Amino acid sequence: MELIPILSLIILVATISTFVLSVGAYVLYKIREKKGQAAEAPKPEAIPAELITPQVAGQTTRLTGTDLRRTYGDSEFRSTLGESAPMFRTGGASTRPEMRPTIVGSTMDEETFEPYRQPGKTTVNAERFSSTRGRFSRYTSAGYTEVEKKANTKDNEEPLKWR
Amino acid sequence: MKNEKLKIILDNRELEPPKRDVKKEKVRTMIISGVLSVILLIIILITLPMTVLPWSGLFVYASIVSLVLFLFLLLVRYFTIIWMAYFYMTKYTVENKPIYTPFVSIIVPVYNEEKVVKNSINSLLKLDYPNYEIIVVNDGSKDNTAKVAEEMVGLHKGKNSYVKVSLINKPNGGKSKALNAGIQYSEADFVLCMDGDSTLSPQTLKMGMRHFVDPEVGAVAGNVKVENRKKPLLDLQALEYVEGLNMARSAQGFLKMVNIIPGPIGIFRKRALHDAGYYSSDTFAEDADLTLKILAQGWKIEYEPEAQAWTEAPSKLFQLLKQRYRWTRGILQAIRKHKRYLINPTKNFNNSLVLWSMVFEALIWPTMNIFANLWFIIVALLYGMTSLIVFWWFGIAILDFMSALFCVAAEREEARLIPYSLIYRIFFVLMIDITKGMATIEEFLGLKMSWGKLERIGTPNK
Repeated sequence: MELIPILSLIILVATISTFVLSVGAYVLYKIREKKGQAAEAPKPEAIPAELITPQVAGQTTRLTGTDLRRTYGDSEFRSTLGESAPMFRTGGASTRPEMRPTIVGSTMDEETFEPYRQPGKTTVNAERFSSTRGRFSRYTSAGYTEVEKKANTKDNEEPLKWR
Repeated sequence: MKNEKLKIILDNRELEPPKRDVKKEKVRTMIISGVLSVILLIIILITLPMTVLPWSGLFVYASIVSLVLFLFLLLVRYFTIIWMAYFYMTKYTVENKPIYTPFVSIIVPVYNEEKVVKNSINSLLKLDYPNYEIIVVNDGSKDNTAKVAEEMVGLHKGKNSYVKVSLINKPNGGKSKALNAGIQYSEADFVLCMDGDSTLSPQTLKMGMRHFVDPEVGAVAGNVKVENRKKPLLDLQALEYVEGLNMARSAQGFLKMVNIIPGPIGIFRKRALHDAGYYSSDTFAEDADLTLKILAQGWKIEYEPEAQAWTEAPSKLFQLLKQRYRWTRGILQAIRKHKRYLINPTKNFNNSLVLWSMVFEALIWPTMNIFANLWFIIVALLYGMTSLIVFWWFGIAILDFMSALFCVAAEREEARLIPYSLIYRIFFVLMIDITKGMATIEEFLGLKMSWGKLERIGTPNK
């Protein structure tokens, strides 16, 4: 018996079967998909979230190398963007997404919340930032602006905490 | 050590997509296709009376011309990819890049991944890199993912240093939003974005970060491999990842213009991400979209074969086709979003080149493959020329066998994958191409689609 006719038959049947199988699977897929249609979720400009992170203030430099961390100034980004510069859906003053989320408060019970204390220091709330410039900056329509430091604010009275 | 729970507000905005006028687009399509049809009709009307062939002869003649053209394109495509991949591999072997270890944040977006998230994080703790943190972003999972991930929060002993693991719990918004949330929280200059179900090989960061010594490199694409194997469908996918995807990525790496940074592993310079406007959720292939945006801003994208991500491939045919359907539509959406570079190469020539190659791979190549196979079926059934299909299969199988041999050797993969190349094109690729064809028709018709989620069974740690 010749080899080529047998091979031809096998390959022909395989090719036709693949066609039928693919089209059938596609039809089944469409039927299944129709059953699970869901409405599109709304897209707010800001969403609340929860951050769970180990309390390692004061140790983070050694452990995770925060000395290499920094905040970008607007001048540090390419100035050659021209007309292709990203434009974001706006609503507020800022035209670009914030580079870091805003922390609005602790979800832990205040009695059990014990900030880490470094030996010889009273508090270390923001020790992890090593930049010599202003530690925090915020994106506004005019680019990054320094956040003013509040004089004589006690840690427990600070209304806004930053990461 | 205690964990800190904080309420945060995440910026949920994203890049405004280019404005589309669907009506105008449809009218333009109708005009262009109408004009082309009229030109074709005129050519046929002029040339038909000149021919001396009967109808059947004309069919055979047209088929032979089409087939020769197809074979020419096939060989050019094959050998271009193989040669460029070979050049890249040679360059990669010879060149010696210095070690570069800046601080890196690894972003792990998870959605209903309770079975695999622990495995993923554990693989990240074994990375041979001294300076990194892990940020898990739970995208509103409905199962126990949040609980499992929270158990992993803390300082863990890594291979070279302690590694901080943090968790962000946010409402469901899709993978792009989850990755953007992680990037927002990260303070590193470099981020590694991956899938929640992937595991990374220990050398990933060490090898991947070396490329960023070049300040023009904006991102590095990794090497994705199939973790769950030993079933024909999974082995075929493993071969496809090696032969189809990674070989093409090596070829693109030679030009430093990788066209899709894979979702399971991509390392980014944060400045490049900022230039590109971060991830967008308006396409179903956020990775392809982001890659095109980064390329459009003039950044180079490298490929690193030693930065390996092991991912769980779909084990059922239905899931596989669903995945490919989504990929195809997503890639077409990304191409359409960046079509200004497609039409006008003076804006960014590299991007035009990349986009045209994507159009060829996503649109032209599958269509040609489907029609070639249909033609062989028709000539076999109607004209009894069954032996043609054997020679066709034989020729294609030799090409696939050769490239499988090259890729398996280059990537030090399992040799048992090579025999699968004999049925790879006739069965697997044809099936995928038919799904691509269906997805393309749907995308052009503008039919709605949903994201879909693969069911994970969880694979044991490697």
